[in-house]
Amino acid sequence: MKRTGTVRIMALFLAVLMLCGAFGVSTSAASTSDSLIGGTSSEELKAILNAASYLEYSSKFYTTDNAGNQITVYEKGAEAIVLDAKDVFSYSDGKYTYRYDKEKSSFYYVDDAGAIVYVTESEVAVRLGSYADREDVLLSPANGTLTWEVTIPQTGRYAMEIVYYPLGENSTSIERTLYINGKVPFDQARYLTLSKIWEYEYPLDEDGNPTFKQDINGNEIKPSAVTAPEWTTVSFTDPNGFYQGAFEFVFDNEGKSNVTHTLALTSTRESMYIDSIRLYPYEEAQSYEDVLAMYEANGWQAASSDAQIRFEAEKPYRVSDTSVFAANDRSSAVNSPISSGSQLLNVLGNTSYDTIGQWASYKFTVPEDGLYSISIRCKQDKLAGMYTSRTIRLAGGIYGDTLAVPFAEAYNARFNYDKAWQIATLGDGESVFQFYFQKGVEYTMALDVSLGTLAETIETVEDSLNIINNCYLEILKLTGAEPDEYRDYKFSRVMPETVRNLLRQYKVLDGVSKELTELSGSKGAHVATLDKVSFLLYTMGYHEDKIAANLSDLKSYIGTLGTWLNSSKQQSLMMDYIVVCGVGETTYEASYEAQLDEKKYPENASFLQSIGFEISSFFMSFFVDYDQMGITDDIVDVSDKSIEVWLATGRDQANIWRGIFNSEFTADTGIAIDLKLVTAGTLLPSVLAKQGPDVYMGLDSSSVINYAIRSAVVPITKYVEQDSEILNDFNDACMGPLIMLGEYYGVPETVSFSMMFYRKDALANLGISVPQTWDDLLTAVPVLQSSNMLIGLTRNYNMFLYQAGGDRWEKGGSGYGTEEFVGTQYEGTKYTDLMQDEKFSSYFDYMTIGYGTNTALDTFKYMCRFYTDYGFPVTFDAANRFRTGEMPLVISDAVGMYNQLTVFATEIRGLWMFTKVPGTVRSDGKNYQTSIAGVTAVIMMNGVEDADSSWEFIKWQVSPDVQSYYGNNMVSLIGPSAKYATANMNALLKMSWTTEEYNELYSQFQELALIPNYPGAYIIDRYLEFAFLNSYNDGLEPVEQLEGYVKTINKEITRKREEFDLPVLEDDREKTIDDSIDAYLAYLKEISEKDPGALDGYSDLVKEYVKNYEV
Amino acid sequence: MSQNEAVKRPVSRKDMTKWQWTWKEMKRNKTAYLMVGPFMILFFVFTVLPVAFSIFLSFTEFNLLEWPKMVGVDNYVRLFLDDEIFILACKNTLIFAAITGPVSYILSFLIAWFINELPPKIRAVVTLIFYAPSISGSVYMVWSIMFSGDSYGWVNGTLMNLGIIDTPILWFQDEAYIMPLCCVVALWTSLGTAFLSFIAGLQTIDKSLFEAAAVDGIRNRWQELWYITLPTMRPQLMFGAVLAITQSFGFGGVVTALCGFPSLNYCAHTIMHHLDDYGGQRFEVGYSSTIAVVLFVIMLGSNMIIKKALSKVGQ
Repeated sequence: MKRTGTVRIMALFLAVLMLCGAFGVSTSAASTSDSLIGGTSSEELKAILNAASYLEYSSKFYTTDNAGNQITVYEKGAEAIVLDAKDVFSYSDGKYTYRYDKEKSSFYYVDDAGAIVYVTESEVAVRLGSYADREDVLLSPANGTLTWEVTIPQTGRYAMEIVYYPLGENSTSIERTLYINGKVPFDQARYLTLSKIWEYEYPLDEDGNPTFKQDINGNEIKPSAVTAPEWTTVSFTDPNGFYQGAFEFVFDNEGKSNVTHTLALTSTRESMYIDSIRLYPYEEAQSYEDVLAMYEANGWQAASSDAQIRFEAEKPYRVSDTSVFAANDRSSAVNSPISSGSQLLNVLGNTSYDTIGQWASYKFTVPEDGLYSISIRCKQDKLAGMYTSRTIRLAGGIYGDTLAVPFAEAYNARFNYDKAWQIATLGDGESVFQFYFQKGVEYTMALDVSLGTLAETIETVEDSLNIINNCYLEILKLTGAEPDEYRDYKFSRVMPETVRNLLRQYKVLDGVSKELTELSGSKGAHVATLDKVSFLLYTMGYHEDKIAANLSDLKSYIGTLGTWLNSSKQQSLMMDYIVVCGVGETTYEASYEAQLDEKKYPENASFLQSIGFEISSFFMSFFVDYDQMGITDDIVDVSDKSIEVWLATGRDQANIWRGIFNSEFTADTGIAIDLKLVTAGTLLPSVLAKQGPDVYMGLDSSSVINYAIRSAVVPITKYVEQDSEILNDFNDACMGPLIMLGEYYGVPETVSFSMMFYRKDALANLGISVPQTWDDLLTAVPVLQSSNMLIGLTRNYNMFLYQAGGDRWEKGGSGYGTEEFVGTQYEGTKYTDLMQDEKFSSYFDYMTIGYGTNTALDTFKYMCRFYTDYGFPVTFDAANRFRTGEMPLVISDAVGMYNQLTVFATEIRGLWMFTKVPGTVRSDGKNYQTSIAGVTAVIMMNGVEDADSSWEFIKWQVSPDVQSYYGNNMVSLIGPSAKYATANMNALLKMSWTTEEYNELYSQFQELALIPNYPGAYIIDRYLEFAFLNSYNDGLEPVEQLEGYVKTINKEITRKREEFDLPVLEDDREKTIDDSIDAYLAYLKEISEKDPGALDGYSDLVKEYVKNYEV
Repeated sequence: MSQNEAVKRPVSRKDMTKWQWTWKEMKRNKTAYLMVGPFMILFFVFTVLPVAFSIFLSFTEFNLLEWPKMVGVDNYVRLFLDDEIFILACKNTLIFAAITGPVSYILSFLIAWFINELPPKIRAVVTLIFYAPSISGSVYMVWSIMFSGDSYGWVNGTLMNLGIIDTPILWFQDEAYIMPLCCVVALWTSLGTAFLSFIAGLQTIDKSLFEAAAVDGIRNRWQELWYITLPTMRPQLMFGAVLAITQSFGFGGVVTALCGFPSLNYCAHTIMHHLDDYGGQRFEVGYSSTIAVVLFVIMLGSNMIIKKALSKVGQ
């Protein structure tokens, strides 16, 4: 068998080759990258990045003398000072600074000439007057700055408390930046957050208890939420949850007494009324020990253990925002309530009750006076090996009128990790809390998401991450992204501080890891992440020669650490019900253990219960019609009309839409919506088979035109004209691509366009301003490249073309108005007057492309140079490289990139922003920062049965309210990465963008270009790509390349237009526009002879011409 | 009397028309027809009808949404006389067919032959490894990662590290590389069902034939292969050949996935792509049916040639 030896060896060799291939597949998916830091253009940006944290700020309250004794530098303020809203010093909206004249009850400003100008209420956003039962309260609009003057008797530190009344129906919270004497005292004061208050509208059952509405199949429907604004008093606290208690602000009189300081609030998000601001000396909450002592001193006894009240967690009295809502959970057969056949809302917080600042509150009364404990049936299965925290706030009886933390430990109510359900009694891990409640008093308890004792740890890691990020950037600047591991870069000589920092952070992270292990008693996977990172830092710090080799690992570990931080901050807790139970035995001991009857309050279902439940659920699943989900009796009663709507998105989106359709549209109009989720690409065959829908949502504009020209889409011009106010919601760039031959074929739903993303840190470090023009951008290239950085430019020739004033199409019929004929190549032609007829002239639009003009060719060359001369990469992973800081400038799709960065690059949160794309300065001196819009539309399909109802639906669906409602719902259900790119300009304002983000988006919205897609348009991008790649790969002259294709493109367009009997203009220039018109008149004559109605819609002039036309 | 004679005379083929005879035979064999019926109906509805319909459509102008218009042989005239890209596509298709067809066919056979020599357990494992690329659907995407135009693509990254190139090469967007790379990928993915059927065929060969042949004077393994192995597994060879042809002419999805659609300057544009272009993007189903018909004829023709060639095996 010797002969097979060779064969075997060959076979094995080939096998190994194949194996390598297969192995490659599995490993290829894993590449990641991360990192960095930089800086931006302006000095202001640097200021933001370098601001001190509150930790640093508050450390200056005290100092230590030589003997090690603590000396207080800034004493607490002596007594409270109240700033009344009506004493406001000024309001500035960026243009003028307004003062208030109390005698005239009016605001005024001093104009440039020095004259005093009084303004009416409509002229200025700020207002002072009565609102919601209070006199003299001040409206703080969503932008501008309000300033007060305050006289402080002696240097001191004060906490600050504001009495406010939230406005607006958006689900975003109110955000303000605080300035003291023109300076933001510390970083967190930039984003002071005040929550709004929301209430669910529960229908009441016969006994007056809140319930949920049910659909025809017995599924419970989430109630709608309304804002329940009221005058609220809160202290300014840390929105990130790192510091418990109120912030203290220093007012330094520098030794003098009675010095006047200014205090300013700049709006970043949302508006509110302000009644007053109180500066007061802050007292820390008493300890639980003291509270127990107080119970004992008062002789308060335990309530009997039979004194129990229980309420369902899914029906909170109030919530901080609408993302805290009731949901259905079937993970246990003893959830309350539960049904195997229908979806009952039975838990709160299985999706998003995990972000700092969210809260839910409950009202209850107790049957007898005494001491009680509070237990919650809950599940915490997200943060393995750690615990999540809630802050308890109480109001009523001895706890006062406003919700307040009863004792210091209540900041850290702790819920340990358990994969199963548990009944947890509120406590901080060491002691279990007892509360004193009285019969007949109505109590309110709020549970706020908080970081608890983890706060410090998390902040340490966050700081550490920032430093590591900086180190990485420093190293990157020296070595580039792919360092040579055999080269000696001499790190410790070039950047000793960086190397030391690596070691310092190794110690920090190692310490944190040990601390966490001690806290939770075991080393979970969560903690192991920190060990991995700290070990790498150790290796790099102690062995300088390993720095280069491990740089890419460091990059990916920075990302891991970012993700770690993010998941640690998510304090999720799913709650089923809450039991307030008498303590039973008076002990005044912190170590009391609550004893709940296990039969009455089981933690988990028994084996038999679970089996029974699963089996019955399985069989019930055959009877549940998920398409009917959410349809209620009253809808069935009122619907006599029905339209079929298709959309091709995800299931989540479809469910949200279905909910909105049923609860808002059908309930109001009586038109039932049969919503079907289909896969993209189903539309064409269904139209072919005449099985199509009435309305289709989300079709891209080029398909709309493709379908429309083949009469598969119904023109909706008459409806648009009848409801012309709908046009106010959309700009031309969005509407334009849906117009063909003078008819509207759809209404825009979403829009996508490019914007420029920049890393504030990287730009600031390099001293580069955010580029406004392409020339600015090119100036920055050498600076970036010398730091081994690049710019990511997603190729978009049309963007350059429209900025330069070019046009994708040569002016067609609409351009040949009588005046415009003069001076053009068509001057003196016969048919100038015919072009007065809009319908007629629209047939002569877009006959040839405009890429052959000088502007177009120059622009193309200019764009190619970015890649050929300046070395911009053609292919790149924008999000990844932006995250690592290798590409501090990226021009990419705005909403898509934003969503991706929000979840994917958590470690650089706050270090980036987006703005308008760089522009081209035209000869008129103006900078055109045009971006190109891509639109998807809602359309009415041919074969629609009830066109009026369908239009009713379309009009409603694209309205600002519905669009923003949907967008906000997406964000609260799916998370901040589910921002919805609505095409409705007026909806944008109501969505959860910050004011800064909104302003940028809105201004780009104003500079979008309209690019109509016409028959044959598909060919354009194809050849454009060829022209670019030929010049890029082979160094061919771009102008020649593009010019060479113009003729080919025109030929295809002409061929395609002929298919639809549209007039054509041959590109050989032998033919003139008159020849086209001649030919078209002949065509019209021919068809009108067969069918006289064919000329409907044309002016008499055209009819006259056609009639008299002789071949 | 004559009546009686007539009754007694046996029924013969001559007494009936062709149709009557057929009908009679069908009744006689009705069980067989019943059994073949379900398949024939399905085959007719889902294979014969579409082909026939497609041939019909090739004489029309049809945009998928409106009723077809008859245009006679216009489509064929345009295809052969006024479509440069079609000629280019034919060239590319033939190149792909020549490579993925014969080369992969021979390669499949050789590898199958080698593997067949391995002990059964190892053979099973090695078979799986070779067959894996064609079962795991879009596994060829690994090539797009290896040859990504990004400077972080494996090949670009390696070449840049070695200092061979200083800017990334757009492998799948550069005319110089598209064709060679696509051929390599085509070969890599083509070891499919044909390869498996060869292994099966090799194992059905009766070992005693080899012994008999040795007695009859077969001198080496090549003779063994040519005179015994190949003729014995002619059915499998035929099966493999048909698959190889269909596969090589239908090669297109991989190119689209790797190079985008269409490939730069149509340099890897095949007839399949051309068909997609007109049918899918331009809504000219009439014209794309014409392309399909032409492709159909080419496949049919090459099938016949292969059949002829295979009949020569072993002679």
